[in-house]
Amino acid sequence: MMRRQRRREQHVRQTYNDTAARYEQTDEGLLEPETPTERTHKTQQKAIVEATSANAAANAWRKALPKGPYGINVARTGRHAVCYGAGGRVEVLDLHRNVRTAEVRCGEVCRAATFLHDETMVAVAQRKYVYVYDQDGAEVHRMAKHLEPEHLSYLPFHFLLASAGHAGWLKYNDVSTGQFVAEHNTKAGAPRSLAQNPQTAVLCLGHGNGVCSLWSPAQSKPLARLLCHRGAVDAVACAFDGTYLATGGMDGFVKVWDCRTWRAVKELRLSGRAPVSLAFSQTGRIAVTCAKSVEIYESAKKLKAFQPYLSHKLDGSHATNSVFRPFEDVLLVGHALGVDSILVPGAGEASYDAIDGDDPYRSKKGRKTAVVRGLLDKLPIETITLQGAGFVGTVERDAAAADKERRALEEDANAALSKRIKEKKKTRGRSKLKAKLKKRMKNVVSKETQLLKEKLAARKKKQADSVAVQEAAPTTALDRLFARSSRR
Amino acid sequence: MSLTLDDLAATSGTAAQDLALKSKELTQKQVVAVPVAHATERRAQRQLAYDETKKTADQWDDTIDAERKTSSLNFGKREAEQTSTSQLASSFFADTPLERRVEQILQQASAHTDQAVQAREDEALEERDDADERRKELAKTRSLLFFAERKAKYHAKVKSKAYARLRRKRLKKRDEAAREAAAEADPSLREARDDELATKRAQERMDLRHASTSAWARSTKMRGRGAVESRRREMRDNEALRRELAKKQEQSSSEDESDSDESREELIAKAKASLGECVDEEQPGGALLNMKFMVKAREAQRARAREDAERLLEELEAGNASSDDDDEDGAALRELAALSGDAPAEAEAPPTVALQGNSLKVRRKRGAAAAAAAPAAAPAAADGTGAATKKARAAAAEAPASGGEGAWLAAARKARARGRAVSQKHVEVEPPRLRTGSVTQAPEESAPPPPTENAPLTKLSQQDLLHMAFDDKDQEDFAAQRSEELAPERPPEQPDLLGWGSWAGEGAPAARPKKKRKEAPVTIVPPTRAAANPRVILNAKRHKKAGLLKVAQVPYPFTSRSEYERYMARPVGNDWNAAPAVKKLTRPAVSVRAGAAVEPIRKGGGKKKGLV
Repeated sequence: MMRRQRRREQHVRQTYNDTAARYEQTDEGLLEPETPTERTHKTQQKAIVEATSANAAANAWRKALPKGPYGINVARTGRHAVCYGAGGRVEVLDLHRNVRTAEVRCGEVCRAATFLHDETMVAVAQRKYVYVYDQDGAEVHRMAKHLEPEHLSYLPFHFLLASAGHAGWLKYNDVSTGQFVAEHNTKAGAPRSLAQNPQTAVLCLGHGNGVCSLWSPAQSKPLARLLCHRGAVDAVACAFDGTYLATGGMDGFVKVWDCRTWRAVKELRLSGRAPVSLAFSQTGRIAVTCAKSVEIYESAKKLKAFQPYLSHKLDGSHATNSVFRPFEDVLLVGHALGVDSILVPGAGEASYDAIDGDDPYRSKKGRKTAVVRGLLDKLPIETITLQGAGFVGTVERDAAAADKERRALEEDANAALSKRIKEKKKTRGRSKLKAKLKKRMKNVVSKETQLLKEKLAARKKKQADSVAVQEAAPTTALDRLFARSSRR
Repeated sequence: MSLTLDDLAATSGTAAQDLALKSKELTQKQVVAVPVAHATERRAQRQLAYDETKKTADQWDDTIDAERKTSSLNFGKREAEQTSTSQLASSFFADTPLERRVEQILQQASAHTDQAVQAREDEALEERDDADERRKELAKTRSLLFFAERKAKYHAKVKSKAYARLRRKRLKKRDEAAREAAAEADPSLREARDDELATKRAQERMDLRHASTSAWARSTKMRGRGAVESRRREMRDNEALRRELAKKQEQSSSEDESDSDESREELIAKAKASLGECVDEEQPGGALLNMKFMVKAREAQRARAREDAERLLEELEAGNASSDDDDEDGAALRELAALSGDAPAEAEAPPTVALQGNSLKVRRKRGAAAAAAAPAAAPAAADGTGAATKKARAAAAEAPASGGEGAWLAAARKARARGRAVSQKHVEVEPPRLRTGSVTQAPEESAPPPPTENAPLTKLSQQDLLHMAFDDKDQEDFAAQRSEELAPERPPEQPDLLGWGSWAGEGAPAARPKKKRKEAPVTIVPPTRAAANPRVILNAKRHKKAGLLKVAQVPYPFTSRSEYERYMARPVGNDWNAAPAVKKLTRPAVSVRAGAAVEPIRKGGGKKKGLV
């Protein structure tokens, strides 16, 4: 029985590995050079647009917006995007219909924005606080605890909104209950970049001192710290399968790290440029965004200088960030003059998992169902660890530590119990006859008590009168002068 | 009616009798037992009750066990209606018009019950003359039918021969497995079993019952009656041949044994003899091997080998004179024997059928001896250092590959020389270096060549520029932080305040040391590769809340961690399982139908009402 099971498992593992290998090697939908000397990155967007169908070509556009620069973020379904400008304009776009569904003009700088559980809610990191707007662009909530936020990230399986503030604090808020969950002091100044591992929900923060730190809301210290670069880590991104972490530094390097061994598996030196943003697509393509151009590499392993898969120049504008649209061969680039949408063949996953709640074509009812399902399957914050949530329900390896904890818990419980049982009466002598008599005498109406009561009533009345007088009199700015003079 | 004297006498008589009885009772002095103390009585009662309960307590075991083991309990479950034929028949009620009509017809024919049929039959028989005969005939037919039915049932139940054979086989296998398991638990049992098996086998061999079990013999046997005499003879001859062979084998093995414990002197003598022989041998080979220069080279090699061997022999003899029992000498002896081509049994390549005692063996075994010589020579040559032995071993591995006659000698010498050389040198193993470099290790990042102050910027490399732009402070900070976090935690120091720690005053006797609670042994987890990376600080602190999501130990029915974790890893959702399986897997542990009365647990093993 056991052997058969093992054999079956082996078969499953083998199949899985084969599939994974095929997945890794996938070059489906990529541009292919016709001659050995041809380079795909020389291909212009125009040529790609001309070669594709009208439907796909509709995804190549530029949206010019005033008061930039603009950043961009996209919903999990890939249908909606939110662009936010330093000039205070936030727009929610429906990319299927090519319309703007909501617009907010908040009149102060917007540093980051992210969708919450679905496209009906968007959180915006403004000058001082994080605000939440609904699908009509109405302000729903102000999160006063998230001070001076610089980066935002939403953990969809935990219903947590995380913000990294200017003062170096990473704060988590549960958006389903409204509770403030955790705040961690990174002790490394203002964070330069933030990314989320989609598999483990661990947040990766890039700091000014070249360190990238990994965080869980359940632990006040970082799960890991990596010394990645010389100078600030300006860009961080995590692959969809959670195996790779990419960091880009001010030193002009882009490094790809293996998330199991924390060793750099690939390095790319950008000549005379520094990355401002990095993004992974669902199929593992990497977009390296520099100020004036975006370069897309085929995979983490094919990160090679001067040999990108595609490159795109921004015609004199300066890029802020870029993000791949899930389930589409599209890269969205936010820059000084607005937002660009460019075609990247082979970037999007061809099939979506409708059960997972990221169906781009879902109906209104489907969206609602997804919310309910998501809430039912909401994970507790303790499941966020470097290794993911696979440890739940397993047997504790560190038996000694577990034993110690259990003992502490037992002691606490016993202490509470004993406290409840033993309510020692410390006030002695209260039940004596003298005390009882004294208490009984309280009800007796005597001359003294009458006098005292009258005195009390008079004082109360005086107080009430003075309040009434104050309220009746119109107060002006000059009143306090009169008050002072009268006192004099 | 008047009162007579008789009456009075009669009355007084009975009264006197009563009186006598009473007085008798009193005079007999019957002692009434004093009642026992209440507590004693209760104790006795309890004891009795306990004994009674003890007798019946284990009757609950099955029930409780079954209830514990079940995955879910379901109370108030609707029982499925029982549908036995008799039940259906007894509860039948003619409802439809057709049924009613049929019933009516049956009643009219008085065939609606067995009794009615019987009565009708009797009635019909009464009219006939040969009633008795007819009745007997009917009874006979009935009993025949009944027996035929019984027989058919029996035949349906009884199993075939093939079934019995397979069953026997299966049972035997099961017994074997059980015995094996028992033997594993208890080695003495294994011995007993081995003995038993050996006896059984010996018996089998002796009685020749299992002698002719080969395919050929079986096929011959299968022919049965038609087996001709010649065949029988063949079988007999075959058996005789087999026995003879077995006898021979036994002999040779006993010879081998006697051979292995030769004395030291004998070995030396043998070695000397074969040393004389080995020089005279002719090398069979092709034209190339018999060319002049080859022959010359071979002779030179042989001469050297002979020298070596002689020197070794001398040493040995000297050693033999000084100390007789020495392990090293034993090794040397073996080496020598190997050199001379007569390696002892344990140093040989695979033990083959014995052909010993003649010079033919020496010639035949040359290749094997060469192979054996190198491993034997290597440990003798190496002087204790691990690296040296390793190299010697490597040389030994080379030896058979290089082939030829002098290869083994060359290898042995090489190994000896290398062993010496290596033992003098310090062995350095360079650790593999990371390409990306590290704070301390990688020179290209941590210790850049200081850019000359006067050099123009255009002459500087990208790396130099980087180092100029971003100094090493961050790197150093990180390294310091890492070492700080990796350092073991120290208890907070007590402030050195006046009066602290000496409440009892000076000169007071030292306090009795506190009894230390026995702590569970701390498992030291070796640092992983990731933790050893100087560019990484991993949070080694235990995550308590995450620990609460694990189980402290493997839960009851599971015997190992892997078994339990495998069970837990099994998916239960409807994406991976069929609908009935999902229903079973996700059934609540206890379910009660609303409004149903939950009956108390009942005694009796097996399936219970609540059990699913």
